[in-house]
Amino acid sequence: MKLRMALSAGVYVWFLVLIFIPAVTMVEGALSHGLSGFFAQVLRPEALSALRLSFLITALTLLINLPLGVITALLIARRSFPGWQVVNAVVDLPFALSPVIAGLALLLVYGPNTLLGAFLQNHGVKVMFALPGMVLTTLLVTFPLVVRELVPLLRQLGIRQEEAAWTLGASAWRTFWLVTLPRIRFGLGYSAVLTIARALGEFGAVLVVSGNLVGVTQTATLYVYQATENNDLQAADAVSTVLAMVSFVILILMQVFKGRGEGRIS
Amino acid sequence: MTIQVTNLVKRFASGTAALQDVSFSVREGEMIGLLGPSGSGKTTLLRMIAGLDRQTAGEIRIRGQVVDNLPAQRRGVGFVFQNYALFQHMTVFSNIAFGLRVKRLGKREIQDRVMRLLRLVRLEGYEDRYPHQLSGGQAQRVALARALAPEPSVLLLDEPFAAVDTKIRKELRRWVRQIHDEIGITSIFVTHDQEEALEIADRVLVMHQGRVEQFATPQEVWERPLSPFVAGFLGDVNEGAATVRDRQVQLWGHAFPATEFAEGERVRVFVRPSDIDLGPTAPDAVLAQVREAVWAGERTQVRVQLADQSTLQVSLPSDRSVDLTPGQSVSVCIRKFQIFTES
Repeated sequence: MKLRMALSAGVYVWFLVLIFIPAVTMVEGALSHGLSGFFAQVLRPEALSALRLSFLITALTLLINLPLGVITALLIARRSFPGWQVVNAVVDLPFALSPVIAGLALLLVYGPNTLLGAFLQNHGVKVMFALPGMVLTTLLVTFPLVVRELVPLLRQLGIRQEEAAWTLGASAWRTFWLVTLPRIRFGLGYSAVLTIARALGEFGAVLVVSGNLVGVTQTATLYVYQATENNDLQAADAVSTVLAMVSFVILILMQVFKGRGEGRIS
Repeated sequence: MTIQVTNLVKRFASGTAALQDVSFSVREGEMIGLLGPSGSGKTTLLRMIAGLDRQTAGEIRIRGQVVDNLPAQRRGVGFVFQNYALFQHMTVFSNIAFGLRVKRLGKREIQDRVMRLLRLVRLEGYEDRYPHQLSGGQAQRVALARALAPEPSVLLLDEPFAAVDTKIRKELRRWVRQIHDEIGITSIFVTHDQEEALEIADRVLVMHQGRVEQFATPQEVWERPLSPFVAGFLGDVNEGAATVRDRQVQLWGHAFPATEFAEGERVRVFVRPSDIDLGPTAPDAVLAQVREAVWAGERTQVRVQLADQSTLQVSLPSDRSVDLTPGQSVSVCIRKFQIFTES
């Protein structure tokens, strides 16, 4: 009994030191000049542009990675193409790599001094140090999230209901929308939320490929880093607080999807 | 012929053969029982007729049309899955309406047809339930109604009664037979339960190791099995091996005539417990000693030991007035038997 009380007290202290105090300090810093001071910081053109860029990258990543992840997961789960084992193994690679290295790898392929990069640039497509490169990098580091969530779920659900739909005359396309998608919707929602969290918070990979140009290729996390470096703590706190609030919403959404997903699998 | 299967072969990627040269045809309106032990290839065969698996070689025709290159969607075949595979996120109504909505029928027509099917499967009032709120028997009936909704010409059922309590299983299968007769559909159902196959099928297709062992009426399969496997698989059986001598087989104190076998050939003799009679001892009779008698309602299961120490299982009507006290001597009369060459 005593031991358990001591342990839970320890956990609480740890939470306090690690999460609660830093969070409160950050919000306090953001509000040190009142609510108007906070808004003034957030509404600064550079801050606003950084936040907008972060949300844009996140939205584009989600838009591309959800369908791509679902298709990949379906192919792996149903073993429906030769070499699915290879793809299954490679999917995890971005998890194993440091994001900085992932960014660097893309830079080595699409950078302005490479064959492909130069070719694209000559045709008016600037990949690196621009939005396409940043989205590409974020896509790379978030790619496993949807696939890893959906493959075990799809395997567990099996394919019987889909087969039933086929014998009832439904095409593969309709079967996906009417049968498969509704059954994986909570898993998909959960992985979407994970993707949002990861995309918004990405720093290292984006740092390598963005060039960190203020107002152009500076994301919210890069802005926070830059402001901290410049000792502009109030600006850093304000944008961080916005990101933290988004995280809080994400945390709640994750709990919702997780709970529903576990309760309704069959 | 509604369904015609010719020289069907299925080999898996690993090289193991699931089906070897299977041929048979099913007449319009027939109900066929696909019977065999697990791993005999019966479910594989059913899935290939439905278009869910593809054969390695051979041809399948449905109503005269070769369907080998038609996907499951276009074969017009209703399928009832072993565990029903109901759409868990849809109500009973939506489950049954699925095939009709896919066909883009009008709202009114869908409503009418689903209601008619619900009446047919006696589930009126259940249309707003979800599958997880149904009992096994009810889910089974929904699966049947869903498969029948698009009015398929052929209905395939994979172990349709396996997941239902024994109590309602008998009732359910008679009722499925009744529905089959009412709507005049052609059906094939897979089962490993011989009683089930014999009771409701018009003809039984017995499968073993990917081959058709026999395809005949239940009575014929029961009375004149074509192979040792069929003889042994359908119900309990006494089995013995012996050698043909003087056009006879000597076994269990009996001399079985074996005129169609060669002298010195090794043969196996099959006798059903219900084809043996026991009576009071008499001169010239084959005698045996009762070892055990288990009363089981209408019939009594008796084990007797013959003079050569071999034993026979006998199933006797319980009202037969024979003293079955263990140790008692009785006379044994074998009324029917089957002889097959060994191998």
